[in-house]
Amino acid sequence: MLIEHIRLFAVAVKNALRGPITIDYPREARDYSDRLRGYIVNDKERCISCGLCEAVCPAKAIKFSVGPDGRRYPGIDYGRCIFCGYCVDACPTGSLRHTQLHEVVWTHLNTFAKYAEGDPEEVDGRPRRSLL
Amino acid sequence: MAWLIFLLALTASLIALLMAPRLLAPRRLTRAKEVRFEAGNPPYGKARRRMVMQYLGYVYLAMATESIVGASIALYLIDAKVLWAALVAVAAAAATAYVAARGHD
Amino acid sequence: MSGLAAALLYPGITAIFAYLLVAIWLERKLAAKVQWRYGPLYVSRWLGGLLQGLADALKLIFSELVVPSYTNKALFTALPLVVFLADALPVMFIPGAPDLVIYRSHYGLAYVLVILLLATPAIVAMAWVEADKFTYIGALREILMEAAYEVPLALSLFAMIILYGPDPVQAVEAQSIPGILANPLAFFAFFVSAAMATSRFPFEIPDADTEIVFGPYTEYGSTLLLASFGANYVALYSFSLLGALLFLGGWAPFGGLLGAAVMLAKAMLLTIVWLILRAIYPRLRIDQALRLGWGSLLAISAASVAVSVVWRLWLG
Ligand code: SF4
Ligand code: SF4
Repeated sequence: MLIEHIRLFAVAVKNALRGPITIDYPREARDYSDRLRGYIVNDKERCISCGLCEAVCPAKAIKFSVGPDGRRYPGIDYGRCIFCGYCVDACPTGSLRHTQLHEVVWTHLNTFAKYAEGDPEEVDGRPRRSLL
Repeated sequence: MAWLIFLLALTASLIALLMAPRLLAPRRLTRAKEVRFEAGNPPYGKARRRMVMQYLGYVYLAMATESIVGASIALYLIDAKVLWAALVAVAAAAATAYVAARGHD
Repeated sequence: MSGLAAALLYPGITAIFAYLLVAIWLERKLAAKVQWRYGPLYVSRWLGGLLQGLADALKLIFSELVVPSYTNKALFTALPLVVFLADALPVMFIPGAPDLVIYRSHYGLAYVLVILLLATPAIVAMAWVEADKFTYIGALREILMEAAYEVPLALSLFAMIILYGPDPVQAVEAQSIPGILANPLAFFAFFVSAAMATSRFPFEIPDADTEIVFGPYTEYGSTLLLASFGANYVALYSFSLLGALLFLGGWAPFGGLLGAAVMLAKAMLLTIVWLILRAIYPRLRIDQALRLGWGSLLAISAASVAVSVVWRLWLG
């Protein structure tokens, strides 16, 4: 009975000495390996406006809008997107691409629903730490 | 004197703590802030509803036992010679409470 | 002069508020460490996030103080302060060093016991005035918790009074060996019932935030939350000073300023053990706590009185 309680304390002390496995958040980033399905960017040079990405999207997150050159480009509504990656797989030219970013902030509601207008910087200089 | 200073300073700092938001914080009372908190729902029914009394026995036990223990301690403090009487009273009260609590559930 | 220092610095006002800051930080940090997290770190990184509590307090000061219209407004605002005062009052009788006592009384320990037991009625009154469903349940649980711990607490202190007399200053001088060795049973009963009184973890039943929002503190925001919830930690401060005084030998073996530091260190040591409970134990049900209080804890505290009597007989 008493031994059990002492063991509880011992486990607590052992854990406390182990050190954190979480990241030091705003300064570090978790390394999720490069297979992470993160924020999706569209290379407008390669996009042929075929609309396959819109057709395949299970969450109906993709809407097309007219870009500055008069062609139509997909834009993802991240309020709906479930990051399944189907659009990236469906894209015949490979113009849609996942990035490593998964924590993107938009200051305006309309920017992120449009084609790539709100594209964030792709790199941040933070050190990355993997879980194991 | 020190105890008065202590009490006054403590009260003063608490009152200052209470007054600070009145001066610094915004005040926009809305209906939703005014009503009783009910985890986001509109309040309904009485706040003080009927409660199960299955543990009331413990409170009763505490009242009875605590009065005996408290009285024993007080008597012992007044006159150290009654230690034995106080001990007997405490032991009897504790034993009774122990047995009574065992029969509780 | 020393009375003034005691009132304003240590063990008085300054120490109380500093303790609030440190204890809340320690609690969060310790729980974080045990759970493999960092804990508060963002504010004042060079201090390990110690000033996070200050930042939280500032944030609370700048948030609106809402007094609901359906309550008794005067009582609603006054009772958190009463609770805070009631939890800080025992500090008046506990010396922080040989001369550093706010109110020197021959019956100090008895006063401390009475005030510690009277803090609960203040909390219950507060919860009653707030009058919503969660505070009502919290008040009932608070009453039941007091029913569980008050007799063991009184008995364990009685045991120490039999050993050392009711004067807290003389209690240190009377300790040739620390009280924890002289009467470990009393220490155990004191430790557990203090955890119950300040709702430390296995007994964090009245303000179980996963069940009843925040128990007796539910309706409060802004600085009223600070006062009402901070009161818990002030009670912990009283308990840890009392524990350091009675069971860990107080300021012994030093005196003066060094003695004060030693006593504070001992109190912090006790505090750390109380705080780390949060990361170790799950919350008990109220009936389990009651059964514990009226079962083994009552038996242990009664036995501790017997141990003290045996010591008295042996020493004459
Ligand atoms: S990742 Fe999935 S949900 Fe998101 S836009 Fe592409 S297809 Fe739609
Ligand atoms: S599937 Fe690819 S190429 Fe076709 S519209 Fe979408 S992004 Fe452009």
